Amino acid sequence: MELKVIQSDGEYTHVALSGRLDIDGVNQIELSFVSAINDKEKPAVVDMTQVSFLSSFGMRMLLSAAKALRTKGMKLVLFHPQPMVLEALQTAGFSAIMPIENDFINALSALKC
Amino acid sequence: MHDDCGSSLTLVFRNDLDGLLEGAGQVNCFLEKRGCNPKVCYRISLAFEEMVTNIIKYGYDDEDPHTIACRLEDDGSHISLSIKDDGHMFDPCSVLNEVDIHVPLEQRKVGGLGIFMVHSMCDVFHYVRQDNHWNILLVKVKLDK
Repeated sequence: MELKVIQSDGEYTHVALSGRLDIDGVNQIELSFVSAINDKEKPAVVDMTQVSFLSSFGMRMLLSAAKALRTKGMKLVLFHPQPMVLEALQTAGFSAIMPIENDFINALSALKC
Repeated sequence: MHDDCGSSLTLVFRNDLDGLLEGAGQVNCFLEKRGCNPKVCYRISLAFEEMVTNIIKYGYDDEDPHTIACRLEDDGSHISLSIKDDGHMFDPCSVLNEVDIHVPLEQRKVGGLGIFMVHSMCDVFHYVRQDNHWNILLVKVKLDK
């Protein structure tokens, strides 16, 4: 699992994840993810395009980030998850608690709502 | 360690992260060899990781090594995964009601989704306690998903 920070200055944080967000993947990137997103005072977009697998450990990481930003009045937006990852997110009820967008313009708009 | 007979696979591994990763690799290989579609692969892979991780994290009070055994089977209509361990008696169905996916973000618990996800995404989810010693969980995913 790899985390790439696309943008960290400006009005929002933009990171891209690639690989399997399973227990091993989360172990590899969680500290960097928290540092890049949870600890900041700005909304964040997480590009999920290259995430091929998401388990409850990955969901825990994303949910913690969303809750952390929520306490600051900010949003976490998930961008372009693959079909099975999207199905997993929907099964876990994530679409009701954070924006999940396939279009990047819509993702940026969702940051501001 | 594994025993592959084409349409079935039996594997045993240690109750630690290395064992989990090794087992997961074997499971994924089997599913690929059987030509399972991505949806089936995802569901079985998820079931394996979530349920085995629960056993490793919560199943034992000691630091001793334990063996977890799994059997995968392709019967033409389903892929079935059974997981057998000698940890504490634990019926995963007993915790399904602890997850509420309908509450607002602020009230969502960050943990507890693993068993819920497996139960939701598999077609069969069945637990038995055998000989007052073994936990056996059987999950199945339809092949036409």
